[in-house]
Amino acid sequence: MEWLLLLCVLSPAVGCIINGLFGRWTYRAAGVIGSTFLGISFALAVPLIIYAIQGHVVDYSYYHWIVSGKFTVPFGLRLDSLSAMMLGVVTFVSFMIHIYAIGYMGGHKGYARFFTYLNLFVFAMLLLCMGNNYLTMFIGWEGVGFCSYILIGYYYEKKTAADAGRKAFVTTRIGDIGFIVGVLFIILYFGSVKFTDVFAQAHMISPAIITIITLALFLGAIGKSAQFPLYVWLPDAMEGPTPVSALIHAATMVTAGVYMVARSAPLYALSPTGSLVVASVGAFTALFAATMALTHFDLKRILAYSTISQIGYMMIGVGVGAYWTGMFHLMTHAFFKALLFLSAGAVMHAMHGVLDMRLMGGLRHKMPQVCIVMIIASLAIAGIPPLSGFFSKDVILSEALMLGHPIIWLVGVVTAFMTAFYMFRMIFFTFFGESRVPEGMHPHEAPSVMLVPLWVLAVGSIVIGGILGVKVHGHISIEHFISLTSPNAFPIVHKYSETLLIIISIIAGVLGIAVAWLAYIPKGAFSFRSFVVRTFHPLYRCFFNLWWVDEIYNFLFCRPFWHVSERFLWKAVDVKVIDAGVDDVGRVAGLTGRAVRILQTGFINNYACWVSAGALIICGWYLLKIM
Amino acid sequence: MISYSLVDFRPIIPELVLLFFTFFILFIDFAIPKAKKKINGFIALIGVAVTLVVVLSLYGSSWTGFNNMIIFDKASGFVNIILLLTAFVAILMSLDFIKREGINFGEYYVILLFSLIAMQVFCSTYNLIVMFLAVETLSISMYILTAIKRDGLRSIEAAMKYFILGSFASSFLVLGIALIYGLFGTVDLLRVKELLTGADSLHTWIALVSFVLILIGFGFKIAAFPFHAWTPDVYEGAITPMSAFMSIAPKAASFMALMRLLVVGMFPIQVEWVKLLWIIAVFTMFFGNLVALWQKDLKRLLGYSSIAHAGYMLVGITAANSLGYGAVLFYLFGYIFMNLGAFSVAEYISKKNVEGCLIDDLRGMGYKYPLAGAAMLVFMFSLSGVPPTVGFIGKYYLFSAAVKSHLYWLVILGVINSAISAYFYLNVIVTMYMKGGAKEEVVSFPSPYLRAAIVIGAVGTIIFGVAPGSVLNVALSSIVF
Repeated sequence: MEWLLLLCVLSPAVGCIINGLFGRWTYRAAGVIGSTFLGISFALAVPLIIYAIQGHVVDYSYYHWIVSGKFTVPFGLRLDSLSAMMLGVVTFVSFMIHIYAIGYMGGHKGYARFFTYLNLFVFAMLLLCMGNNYLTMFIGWEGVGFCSYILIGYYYEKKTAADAGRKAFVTTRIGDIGFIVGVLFIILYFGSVKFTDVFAQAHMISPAIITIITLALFLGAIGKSAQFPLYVWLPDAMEGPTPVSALIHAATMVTAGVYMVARSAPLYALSPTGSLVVASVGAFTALFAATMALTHFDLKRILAYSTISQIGYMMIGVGVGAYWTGMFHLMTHAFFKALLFLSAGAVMHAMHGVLDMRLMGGLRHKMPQVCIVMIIASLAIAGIPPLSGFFSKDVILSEALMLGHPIIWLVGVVTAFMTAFYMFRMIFFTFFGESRVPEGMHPHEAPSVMLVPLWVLAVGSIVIGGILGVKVHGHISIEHFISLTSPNAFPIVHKYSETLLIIISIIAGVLGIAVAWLAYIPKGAFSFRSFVVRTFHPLYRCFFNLWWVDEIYNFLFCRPFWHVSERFLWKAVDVKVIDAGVDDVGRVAGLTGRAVRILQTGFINNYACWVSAGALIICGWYLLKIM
Repeated sequence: MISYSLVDFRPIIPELVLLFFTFFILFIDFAIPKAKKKINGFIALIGVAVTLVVVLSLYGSSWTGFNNMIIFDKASGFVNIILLLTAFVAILMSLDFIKREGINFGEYYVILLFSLIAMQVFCSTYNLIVMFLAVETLSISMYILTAIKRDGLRSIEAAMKYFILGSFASSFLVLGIALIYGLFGTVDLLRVKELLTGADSLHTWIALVSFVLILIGFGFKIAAFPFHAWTPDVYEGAITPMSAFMSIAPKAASFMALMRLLVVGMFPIQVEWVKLLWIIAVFTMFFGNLVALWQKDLKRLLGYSSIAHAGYMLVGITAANSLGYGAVLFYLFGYIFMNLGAFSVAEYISKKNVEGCLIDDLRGMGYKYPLAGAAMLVFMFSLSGVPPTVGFIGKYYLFSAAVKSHLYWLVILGVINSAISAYFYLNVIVTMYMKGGAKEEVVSFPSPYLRAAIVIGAVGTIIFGVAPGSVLNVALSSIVF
C-alpha cells in the first residue's frame, strides 16, 4: 500500500518532468499527457481511499531526509481518513480541471508550460496533504505557493498579472513566516516533526506553548487560505487563467489552511483560545468578504470574494472544534466552486475575455448548458436543499450554535443570506434580462471537452452532500469518517431543535434569492435598486470600494516600507556599506592571490625549497621545544 | 620461524581479485592489435566492477593477516569503494580519449590497476614499512601515468617534476620511519601507540619529530601546504583522465593512511598534532583558494581547487572526533562525483593534442551543449558548497565536526574560504552562460563513455546531496578506531 501511495503522489511529478523537459516536442500532446498522469493518480487514489474507508491507516517513512543527532526528518506519507478525503478531492477535481484546460487553453502560448506548472502544483498539493510530518507538509505548502505565483503570473507580459503574482507571493509569505515559527516551536518542544510523535506528546506540553504554536500555524493558514487580514491577494489572483483560479484559488490550495488546522486537531483541541481565534477570524472573514461580493461587476472577482467567504465558513467549522464540518464543507465547496469558476471561464471564453457583467445579460439563450450548471452551482452555494452546499453549511452553523457560539451562528446566517443574494444577482445579471453584449461579439456554447467536466462536477455538486451528509441510523457517514482521525474537540453545551435550525438557514437562502430576483428581474427593479442605494449610501460606498483595504495597506505598509527600502537600505546601507565592503574584500583577496601566485614559479628547485623550508620550520619548532 | 596459512589471505581478497584481472590484461595484451586496445579497457572496467562487488559483499568483515601487517576493516572497505568507483569513472573517461591522443598502449590500464592495488594496500595497514612499500608502488605508477603521453613536452616535464619532488618527499618519509624503528624497535603503529603512551618526555619529543617527517611524506601525497607545489603543474601536464584519477584516488588512500597514523599511532600526542594540523589546514585552504582566483586554465584551476579541498578535509581530521573522520570519508566519496565530473567536462571540450583547457574556451558552452553545461553548473555549485548538492552536505559535516570540538576560528576561516572559492567556481558558470558567444566554436569530444562519466557525476552529485542518509551513515560507522 505504501508504494501505491508513493506512486499516486509521484505520478503528477512524472507528468511535470515530461512536459517540462520535452515540452518543445509534446506541444499538442502536452494537455493529454498532463491529464493522463493526473488520471493515473486518481485511479490509484480510488483503492487507497477504499482502504482508508475500511479503517486502515498507512504511515510510512521512505527515507531519512535530515539526520542530526536524535532529531530526524523522514520523507514519509500518511494515509488516514483525513488525508484520504483530501486525496480524493484533489485528484478528482484536478483531473476534471485538467481535462477542461485542454479545451480552454487550446491555442494559448506556452501550452506545455501551462500543464507543466499545473502538474507540479498537483504534486506539491499531494505532498502537502499526504505528508506524515510538518516539514513534508511545509515543502508542499511552499510548493503550492510557488506554483500559485507562477500560474497567477502566467500571462507574464501583462503587467497586472505579473503584479498580482508578486502580491500573492509576498502576502502569503507573511503567513508562511508564522507557519515556520510554528514548526520551529514544534521542533523545539517536541523534538520531532512527525504527526504521530507530536500528537502523542501534546498533552505533556504547557498550554501556553500549545496556544503559541496553534496561533503561529494559523497565521500560515490565514495567508494561504486568504483570511482577514491577508485575503487581499486572492481577488487579484484572478488575473491567472481560469482553470488555475478554479483549481488553486478555489478548490484546493486555498483550503490547505483548513486542512492544516484539521490535521493539527490534537493541538487545537488543547487550546480553546487558539480555536476561538480560528473561529472568530473565520466568521469575520465570511461576513466581510460577502459584503464585498455584493456590489462587484467582475464575474471572477465576485467568485473570489465568495471563496474567501466560504473558507471563512470552513474556518468556523474547524475553529469551533467540529473538524468534520469544516472538512465536509471543504469537499462540497471544491465541487461547486470549481464548477462556478469553470462556468465563468466558459462565459469568459465565449465573450473573448470579457468579465464585466454589465456587458452580458440574456446569455441563457446563447449558452443554455453553461447557464444550467451555473444555476445548479449557485443553488448549492446558496444552501438550498437537497444540493450539497445545504448539508455542509447547515452542519457548520448548527455545530457552532450547539458548541456555544451564538454570535458566530448569527453571523453565519446573515452571510448565508448575502451569499444567496450575490450569487443570484450574478446569475440574473449574466444570463437573464436584456442582452447588453457589445456589437460584433457572438457568444457561443462551450465545446464538449469543457462541457463534460462541467456536468461531472454539476452532478457532484448535487449529490455529494446528500450521500455523505444525510443522517442514517443516527450517524452521518462523513462525521464518522473524519472523526476517526480528528474527533470533535469540545463537548456540546446547548441542544437546539435541528429542524428549526434547518428551516432558518433555508429561509436565509430563499430570502436572498428572492431579494435578488426583486432587484434585477421585474419591471421597476431599477428604481428599487436606486432606492436601496440611496438609502444606504455610506454602506454602499464602503462595499463598492471594498472598504478601502488595499488603499489602507498601501498607506500603512507598502509606502513606508518602500521609502525605507529605497532611501535607507538601498542607497545608504547597500551601496555605501555592503557593496563597498564586498568590493574591498574581493580586492584584498585578489591582490593576496596575485602576490602568493608568484611562489608558483614552475622550477623544481623552488618547489623543493618549499618542502625543505616547511620541514625545517616544523621540525625546528619541535626541536627548540625539547631544548 | 613465521608460518602463514590460507587464513592470512582473507584481508587481501580484493587486491587478489584485481591482481588477477591485471595479469590477465598483461598476458592477452600481446595478442591484441594496437587498433583494438580498447578491449583492455573493457577488461579493466569489468575487473574494477567485479572487485567493487567483492568489496561490497565483504564490507563489514574484520580480518587481519600476515602478522598484522595487513588488515581489512570497515574503514579500508569504504576507502576501497571510493578507490574502485574513481577508477571505474577514470577508465570510462580514458576509453576513447587515449585512442584519440595516440597513446592507447596496453600497459596504460595495467599500470593504472597496479597503482590501484598499491592504494588498496596503502589504506589497509598499520605497518609503516608496508605503507612505505605501497606509497612507493603507487608513486612510481603515477609517475609513469603522468608521462604516458611520451611525445608531449608538458607531460614529460610534469612527470619529471613529480618524480623528483616525490622522491624528495619519500626521503623524509623513510627517515621518519627509520627514527620510529630506532626509538621503539617496531614499525607497527598499534604497538607504537602502546610504547609511546608510557614513554618519557625525550622519547616523546623525538617521536613527535619523527612523526612530523612521516607527515611531510603524506602531506606531499595529499598536496597540503607547503608540500603542494607539484599539484597544478602535474594536473595541467598529465592527460585529463589521469589528472582526474590523481585528484582523488591517491588522496583517498593517503587520507586513510594519515588517519591511521594520527589517530592510532600518534594518539598519545594528539594535543600536539591538532595544533600542527590546524595551521596546515588554514594555510592549505587559503593558498588553494587565493591562487585559484587568478587561474585561466580550467585544469590548473581544478588543481588549486583540489589543494583547497584537501584543506577542508584536514579540518575534519583536526576536529579529532569520529564525526570528523567519518565526514572526511563521506567528503571523499562525494568528491568523486563532483571532481571527476568537472574533469570529464574539461575533457569533453578538450582539443586533440592540447594538454591545457582555457576557461575562456567554455564561452557559449551552456547554450551549445545544454546538458554538459547544466552538468558543469551542478559540479561548480557542488564544489563551492551550494545545497542541495553533495558538496554542501560534505562540507556541512566537516565543519560541524570542528564545531563539536570547539574549533570555532577554524570553521570561520573555512567558511571564509568557501566564500572566496565561490568567486572562481561561479566565474566558470558565468563564462559558460553569460559571456556571449565563443571566440572559436566549442567542439565536443563525442565519446559515449565520457558522456556516461559526466552523467554519473551529475546524478551522484545531486542524489547524494538530496538523500545523503544511507552513505553518510555507512561512512560515519566505518570509523572504528
